[in-house]
Parts: sequence; C-alpha cells; structure tokens
Amino acid sequence: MTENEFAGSTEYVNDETVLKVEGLNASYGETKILHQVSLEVKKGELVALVGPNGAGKTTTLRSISGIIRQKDGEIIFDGKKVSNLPANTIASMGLSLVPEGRGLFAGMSVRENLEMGAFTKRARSQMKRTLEEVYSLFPVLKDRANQQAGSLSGGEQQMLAIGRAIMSRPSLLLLDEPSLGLAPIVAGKLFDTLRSLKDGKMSILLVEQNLHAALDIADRAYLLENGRIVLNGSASEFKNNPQIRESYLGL
Amino acid sequence: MFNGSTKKRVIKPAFIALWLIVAILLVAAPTFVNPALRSFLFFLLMWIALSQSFNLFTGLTGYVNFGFVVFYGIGGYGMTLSLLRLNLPIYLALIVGGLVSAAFAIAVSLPALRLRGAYFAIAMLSLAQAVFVIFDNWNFVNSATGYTIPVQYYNPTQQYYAMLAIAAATTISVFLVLNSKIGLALRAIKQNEEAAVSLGINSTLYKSVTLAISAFFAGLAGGAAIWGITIIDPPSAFDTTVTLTVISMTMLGGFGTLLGPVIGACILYSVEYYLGLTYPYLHLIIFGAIIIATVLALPQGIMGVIGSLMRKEAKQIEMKVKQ
Amino acid sequence: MSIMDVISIRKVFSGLIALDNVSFQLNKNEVLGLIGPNGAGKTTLFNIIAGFMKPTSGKVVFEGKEITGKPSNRICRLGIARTFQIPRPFGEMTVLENIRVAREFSHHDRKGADSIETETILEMTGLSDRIGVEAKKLTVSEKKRLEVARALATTPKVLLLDEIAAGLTPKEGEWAVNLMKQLPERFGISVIWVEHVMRLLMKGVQRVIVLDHGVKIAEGKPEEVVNDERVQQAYLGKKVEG
Repeated sequence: MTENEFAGSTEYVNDETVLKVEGLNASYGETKILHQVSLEVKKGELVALVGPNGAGKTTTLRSISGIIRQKDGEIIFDGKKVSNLPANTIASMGLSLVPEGRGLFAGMSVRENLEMGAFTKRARSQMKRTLEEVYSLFPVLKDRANQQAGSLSGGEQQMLAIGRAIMSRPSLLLLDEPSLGLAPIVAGKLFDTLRSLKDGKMSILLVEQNLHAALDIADRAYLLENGRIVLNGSASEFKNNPQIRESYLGL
Repeated sequence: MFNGSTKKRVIKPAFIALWLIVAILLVAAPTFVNPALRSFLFFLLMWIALSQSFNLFTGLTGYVNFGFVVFYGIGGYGMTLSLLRLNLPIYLALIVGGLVSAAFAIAVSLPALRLRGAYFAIAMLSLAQAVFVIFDNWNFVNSATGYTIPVQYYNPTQQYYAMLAIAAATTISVFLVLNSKIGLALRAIKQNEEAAVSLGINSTLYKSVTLAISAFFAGLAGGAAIWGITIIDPPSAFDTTVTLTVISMTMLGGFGTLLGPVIGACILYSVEYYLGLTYPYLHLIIFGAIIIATVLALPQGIMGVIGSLMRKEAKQIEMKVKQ
Repeated sequence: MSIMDVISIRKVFSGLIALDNVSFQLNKNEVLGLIGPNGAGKTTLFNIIAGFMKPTSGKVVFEGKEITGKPSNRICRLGIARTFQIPRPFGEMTVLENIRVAREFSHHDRKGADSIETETILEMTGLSDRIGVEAKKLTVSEKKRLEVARALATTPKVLLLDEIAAGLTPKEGEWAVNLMKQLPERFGISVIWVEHVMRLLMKGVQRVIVLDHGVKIAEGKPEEVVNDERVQQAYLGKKVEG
C-alpha cells in the first residue's frame, strides 16, 4: 500500500475535469446494473446524479470509488486511470466517498472520527489546518468534539461523515443520499453546507433522491434510469422537465 | 441428504437376488447359527433399526437429534410396564412401547421444533438428560432400581424374529415415507422453508409427524432390545452413547440414504463386538476417530461414495452414447 | 365487488410506526398497484396480508371472512398466493417438481377449485422447455418466473406479486405487463402488485395505492395518482428551507 503525495496532479486530461467516466458497465454477480454510463465532473462543480429507486445511483458511486470491481469502462480521476485500482488506493489519491448510512465509528469520539479521516501522509501533515476548516464549516462538531459519535443526532452524524471525508483533503467528494432519514429543516442546513463547500471550490458528485433540493444547489445533473443515463444538462434545464417525472413515476 | 428428485431406481435383477439371499439367510438364521452369533445378529438388527429411524428424521429435516436415546428408553419402559403391570401379551407390549415413544415425541416437538440448528441439538440433548434424572427418581417406574423381565418371557428365537421384523419394518417405512407426500413436503421444507410454508405446507406439522414416526420405530426397537437384555434401568435406557453410536453409524454409511444406516451399522457394530471382547470401551475411541475421518474425507458417507461412482459411470455412459 | 378488504392496518415496531391506519379494497378481477418510495411500508403491508406478520391492529378480510393473523400456509390454502422478491425455489428439485409441490399442498381447504393446468402455467411463464432443469441452475429471470408459476399452481383467487419486474429486460417487461392482463381475464385472479419499476406498473394496473412513511397518501387511476402533488413530492422531494 503506497501513499501518493498529491498536492494536485500533473496531468489533466482536460485541465478542468476532475472525474471522467466513460462507458461504465457494472454488475453484481449475474445481474448487470449499469449500461454504458458516462458522466464527468469539472473542477469546482457540484454535479447531481438523480433517478428513481433502483436506477443504479449507489452502484455508480461504488464503481467509481473502486468498491465494485466487477466492471468495465474507463474511469479517469485527476488525469489518472483508476478503473482497475483497489478502493483504498483510489481513496488515497484524493477521492472520498461518504456512503449511504454514513459509516461512522460509533464508539469513537467526534474528534477521533475526524482524525481517522486524515490517513494519508499528506492529509496528516495538514491535519490541524483541515480540522479548523471542518470546525468552521460545522460548528456543532467543535461543540461536541469529545462526544461519542453514536450519540449524535442524525443530522450531526451526517455532518461528521462529511467532515471526516474532508479530512483526507480530497479533490472529489462523492456523497450518497446525505439527506436520507433527516428532518426537512436539518436536510436544509445540510444542503446549505454543501453549497458552501462548492463555493469553496470543492468538486462534488451528489447522489440524492430529493430531486428538488439537489437541483437547487447543483450546477449540472444526470438522470439515471435502469442503469442508463437518459438525460443530462444544467440544473435549471432539469427543473421543469416532465421527463424527470415520467422517469420517477412511470407516466 | 434426501434432496433430489425421486428418480425411479433401475432395479437390477442382481440387486434383487442379493437381497433375497440376505433375507432368506436372516430368516433362517436361528435354525443354524450358534447362540453367540444369533445374539450378535439380534443386536446388529437393533442398531440397524435405530440408525434407520434416526436417519429418517435427521436425513429429511437436517435437524440433528442429539437426544435420540430418549425414544429408545421410553419405548423400553413402555414395553416393560405394559408387560409387567398391565400383563399385556408381549407383541402388544412392544407396540405400546412404540406408541408411547411417539406420543412423547409429539408432545416434545412443538416447543423443540421452534429451535434451529445447534439450539435444537442441545435442547434435545438436555431433554434426554432430564428424562434420565426424572426416571431415576420416579417411583412409578421403580426409579433407580428399574425392572428385570422374568425368565418366563425369555425366548431368544422369538426375540430375534421380533427384532428382524422391526428392522425390516423400519427400513420399509423409511422407504415409503421418502416416496410419500410427507417426504415431498419435508424435502421442500429442507430446501426452502419459507417458500414451502407460503405454498400451503404446515411445516411444524410435518416435522412433528416425522419425529413421531422416528420415535415409534426407535421405541419398538428399544422394547425388543429390553426384552432380549431382560433388564432396564435409567442409566442404560437413557445412555447418550447410544445416540453417539447411532450418529456414527449413520454418518459412516451416509446420512439421508436408504442403505447408509445398514452399512454403517454392520461395519461399526462388528468393530464394537470384536473389540468389546477384549477392550470394552475402545470402540468408542474408534467411533470418534471414524466420525472425524468421515467428516474430513467422506462427508457423504460410504453411500455417498458409491452414489458418486454410480453417477460418474452414468455420465461416462452418457458421453459414450453421444459420441 | 370487493374480494379483499384491508381495514385500518397499523403496525408498530418498537416505537417505529411502520404503517398507520392503512385501508383499501381489492376488487374482483382487478390489478391493483401498491407503490411508494423507499421505507414507505409496502413490504410490511404485503407481509401482513400474506400472513407472514401480524398487524398491531386492524383487519384483513377476504371474501367476507377475517383472515388477520392466520398463518401463511393457511392463507395459501384459502386462495391467496404470494411470490418472493428474491426468488426462493426448491433448488434441488426440477421446475416441474417445484410446481408439483405447489399443487400438492395448496388445495385442502377448497373443494372443487378449478385448477390451472400445468401446461398452461408453463406456457404463460415461458418455462415449457425447462421442466427437467434443477431450479438452482435456472437464470435469475427464470427463477422469477418460476416464483409466479408456483403461485399460479396453487389456484389462487388473489395473487400478491412482490417486485417481479426488477432487473427485467424490456422484452421481459412486456411479458410482465401482458401477464397482468391475462390473470384476471383468463383466470379470474385478482392481483396486488408491489413494484418499483414504475414504467411497467403504470401500464399493467387499473388502480394504484401510494404509501409514504406508512400512510396512504393517494389512491386512484395511474394518471390521477401520477399528477397528485403529494405523490410527486414523496418521490421527487420538495424544496427545503434554507
């Protein structure tokens, strides 16, 4: 396991593109889930991946982050081909996934969870600075720094999960259904925070079932249906498109 | 295990002839064998009956009944009490023994069958221990003293034929159950219990009935055994080594096959008999070793090996025909 | 004419209200869709009707008789069959034997029920040339169709289908929609269909019930339901504060 020193990469396919996925096919055992999925995220963009239940959105994120190995197609992150790399290598290259259900270390404190997020040498050398950034983004985490992660509320846990992902100083953040199980007001605060992250030039690929909320903060969006990208465009183009409703509701 | 479809077995004439010869020999045996050999055959047939009835429940459901000896013991006591207290004729007493054992199985199965896997096994083991302690202290069954069957009932030839009939009946019944509706239901339950239930199968009922049938035959064999041994007391009636012996015999021969228990019983009882003459408990160590060896090398038992050899042969013939 | 009435079903799991006062009717020869976003309680409701779970309160009435809380094998014998979302075939048995098991054990309580011929079932589920194959060797799609075949072999009056359309190819999807037409027309079977693949469901049903967070939020024809604001919000989310 080698750690990559990554202050920013040297080769970009296109100077603006952080992630480029081309012709991704992924399967679970016998069942093919994704068919020729192509998308890209440019630097500083928040791109939303939306679509009805079972479309394959989580599968897409897990394929990109390397958790799913049964796949083919091209995945280029920060100019490097990552299609065949194991998940931990991709993570140490600066791609951070916040999974559905958060995956926190419930028995550890807030601060310990955050520190665990900074696992590469590069991230550890900047840990103090990053920690301060996370605390200013999520003040409630600073208040509860020594509290057990499992005792936080749903919204606080989600913030902690995102904060931990940020601790690795990623170039790209993948978020899987961050608002799941959160009360509307809490979800609203969360989306505000994501907007601030984006304004701070973090590149984000957001999978979210709450379509309207996602389109409110996204620059662009892709519609995934039955494992295929059926629509892409700017967030405003998406907002009133009846095809979206058809995709979710079948009619 | 009894999983696959009920393929109509191609009954080769040689096979039938072999069985006929064995049957004739067994029936004629008391007329030409010496008492020692007759006694050996008596107990061999007992082990065959016990292993076969054990195999019926465990092979079809996959639940290992670690308290199996309790059916043997209750059958033995049932027979003894009917004979000595109720003065029933011996053959009726034997049947009562079987029925009491079956009734006990039904009573026990409702709570016991709610448990899965290892929990069921341990629960049944504890049950056997509990029954032992109860009988040991219960005046109604003469507690620790037990009973002796008086000399007037002693008739080695009749006892032999009774055990032969019981072993045959057990084997035939297992065959019939396998091919009956009960057998079908149990195979479905074993392969996917939830699906079976959703298709109308009352799984608890079928498992109960199978356990009761297993207990009935074990009880019959127990009664006949006590008739021959002439004494019954709690330690010998509820001896866990009986369960372990039956398990080893069935395992060696092959769980879930019709002939497995027969083969296993023949081999292991012969070993026990000849070793027992000089080293009384050595056979247990050997049984243990055989269990381990079987699990490691022959998980399907001897019948499993024969079965795969037959399948290989069938495949080779198939391939030749294709070419 | 209602064949099944679900009345004020409530289900609570240690403090979590999974279903709250859900009521609806299934009419004879109707195909009724049951939809709702993740966690809406569809599966819980399904399992309660099928007898795999008891409700905390409420009733399920079938053909005028209450069946609430009866064990699932009894429910099957009364004429209500179900499929499983993840197929549960009897792996070591052949397709034909699987169907045979369904036939053997499902009829006790009903006299003179008109059985659906095995040949017809095989033809409808496209398994006619796979009858001798062991179920564990079937493809995922074939296993799903075997689920349906088995359920049909019980000669049901009501069929409960649990997400049969997931992962089907477009052609197989057509098959599913076509099946929904045949079941009532050809065999007088009424259907409750829980489904996520909306495109197919909306084509195959006459009426839809929508659940969200354990509550029934809409009921009506597909076009009505899809245009219902509450339904749209449930699936597409609404604008959040902030």
